[in-house]
Amino acid sequence: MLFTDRIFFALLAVTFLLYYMGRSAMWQIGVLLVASLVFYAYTQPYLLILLGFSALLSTVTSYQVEQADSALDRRAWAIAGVAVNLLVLAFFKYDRLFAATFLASRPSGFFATLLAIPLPVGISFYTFHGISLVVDVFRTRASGDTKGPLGQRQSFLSHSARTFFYLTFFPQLVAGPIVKAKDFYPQMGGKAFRDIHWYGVTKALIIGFFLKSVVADNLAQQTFALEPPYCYAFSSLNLALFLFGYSIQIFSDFAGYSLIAIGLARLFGYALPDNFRFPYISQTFSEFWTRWHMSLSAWLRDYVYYPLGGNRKGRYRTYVNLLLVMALGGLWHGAGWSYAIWGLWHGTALAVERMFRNTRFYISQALWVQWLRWLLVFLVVTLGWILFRLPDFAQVRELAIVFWQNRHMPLALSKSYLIFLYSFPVIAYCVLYKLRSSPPRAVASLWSMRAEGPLLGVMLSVIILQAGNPVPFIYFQF
Amino acid sequence: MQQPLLPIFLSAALAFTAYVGLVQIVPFSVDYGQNQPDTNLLRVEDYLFKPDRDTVLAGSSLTFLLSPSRLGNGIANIAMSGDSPATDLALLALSGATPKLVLVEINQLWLSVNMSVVESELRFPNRQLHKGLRAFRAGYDPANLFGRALQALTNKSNTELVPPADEVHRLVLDKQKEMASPPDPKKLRRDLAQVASYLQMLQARGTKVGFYEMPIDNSLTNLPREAVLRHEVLLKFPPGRFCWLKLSLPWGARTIDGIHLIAEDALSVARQIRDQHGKCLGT
Repeated sequence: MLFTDRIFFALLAVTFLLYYMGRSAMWQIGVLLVASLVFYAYTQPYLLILLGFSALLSTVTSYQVEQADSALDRRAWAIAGVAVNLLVLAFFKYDRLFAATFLASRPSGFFATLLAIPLPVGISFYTFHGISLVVDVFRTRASGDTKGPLGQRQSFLSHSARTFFYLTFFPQLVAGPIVKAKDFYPQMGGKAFRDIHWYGVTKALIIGFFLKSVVADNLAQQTFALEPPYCYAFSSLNLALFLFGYSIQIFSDFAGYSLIAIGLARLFGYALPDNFRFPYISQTFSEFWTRWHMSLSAWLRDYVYYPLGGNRKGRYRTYVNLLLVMALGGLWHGAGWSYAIWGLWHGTALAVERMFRNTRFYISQALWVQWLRWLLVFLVVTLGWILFRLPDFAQVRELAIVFWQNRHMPLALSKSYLIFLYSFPVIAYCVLYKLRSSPPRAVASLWSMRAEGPLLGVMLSVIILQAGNPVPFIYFQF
Repeated sequence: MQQPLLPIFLSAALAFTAYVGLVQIVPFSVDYGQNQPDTNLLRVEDYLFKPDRDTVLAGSSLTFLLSPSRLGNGIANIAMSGDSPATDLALLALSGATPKLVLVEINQLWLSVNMSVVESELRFPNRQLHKGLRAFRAGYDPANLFGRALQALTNKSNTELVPPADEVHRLVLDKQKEMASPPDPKKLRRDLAQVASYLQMLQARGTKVGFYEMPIDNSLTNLPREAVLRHEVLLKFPPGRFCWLKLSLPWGARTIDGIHLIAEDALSVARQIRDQHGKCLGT
């Protein structure tokens, strides 16, 4: 089920009513659990089996970590918990990639049947949540905390209910934001209707739906032309514009989804972490990754980069860690080598930047140097998106050839106009943020004159009048 | 303290009402949507909500190229680029439309009906909203109206994009490969049976039915996909019982990719349809 489906709004309304009919935490968790399962199973009910199986594995292993008396047992169960989640992910997400890479011939019989199982929606997210749970319980218990929500011992039933709720909570189930167990568990409890922050909910939902339905879905109708053979009909300048449009589209699609998820979670009294903070204003690649898909960056930093040694083991080891973490992050996005290369592309950018971070280019505060840094980051990031749009290397090659040849086609004016028109809100959003956070503060003072409310109202009317044909969220495929 | 929600909803209501009122009152004339699906729907809705023409062309992207202005006042072209002619027939049959004549392009009848388009167009409240308020119709969205206004002001028209000759040759070769295998016979018969059922619904309301085949590159005309499709369609809808138009281009069809005609040839085919459709109407 998509957040933009009509049926979703019916489910949301019923869930909301039932949720606030009771005040006890168990009732409310039960309502959300059932709603989440309906949400997930709506189009492919059989995928519930895998979700249930994965949740059960995380429940059992994290329960054992919680109950274990000795440090050795705790560690063993934690390793088992992480391993089973990674195995589930590897088996269901990367099976085709492994088969295509390592098998000489096309598998037949039972293996062919296994490979035919479609990628379960949200598997990358709920397995990462499972890993986060096991690791956070382990770390909490290792620190000697036995009183906190993750440290105290509970009955298996209570632990199961909370774990299943954490893993399946529908706003974040299929595409994040990735919320760590240590941040989510303390929030579990009875919620009151009067505590809903309606303005925050409305703002997140309006901006989220605007970014998704108006910006991303309409841009998708133009940027499909990057794909061969459509790209043959356009000049290099048009193709560059489409790529720029895709850069805006992918941001709007995912940031829009994340904001909707955050708004929905707030409706039920839960705070999910911010996932995007104006990533396209970044002047360095490291800054970009603190602004783009922040919940994944934080997850990779806490559970992969730091355990690998982070930047504490010398320069060269730091570079290797960066490349490794980003390549894994790339592979997390999709089961294809192009995603790993996309990760390496970013890993290399991070490593090179680290190498030169003490040079004038990175230290200078001159305005033109800041612009140059921004341009470099934006261009490198945008070029990287080609691997997202065209995960097939042959298509990337074809696009590059068409781009290089520049076929002297006339500029497709209406398409260029639409790319600029739909990108404009995102550009304005970034510019406004920059103006608000730096002098002169004229815009900031205008903003404080309660301009936000009417602007959100206009955005709401544009959502109704200008929503594009619904396109599945790009991150659903991950 | 909570910030008030009233400014949000008040300004939303004002902006919405202002735009809907403007589009309802000002007689905008829109020929194109901001993308192909919108342009498809724009043409369909133009006909369904104002059925003032006797003849309707149900087709695919091949027929879509035939400019409505060249077809004349009596013919509506509701062909959808990227969809089967059967989708048009479903829309006509299920919406209760009563044209005097429906002419069906056969080239893409091997494609099934796109029911998601049909359902989205005809379901409640979409149909009622689209019919009653122009602001909800495809093509009347703010971005498109603004774009069309800019286009009119700058006097720019949509230019035909014709790939270079070597590219056209490559695309024709691709099409040859694609059309070398015949369509799945079971699926084809099932799809044609569905087409027949929609045509029966239209005939029951007094609509006459005719067929035509759009000219395509000579090297593709008799490849298995076309030949099998033509054979099956002629069996199902024989010339003795249905009217068939004869469309031809004496010098052979000139296309941009093997199947889509260049503007000049599309113009010639449009003229032939305009000249021949009278015989199917019985006039």
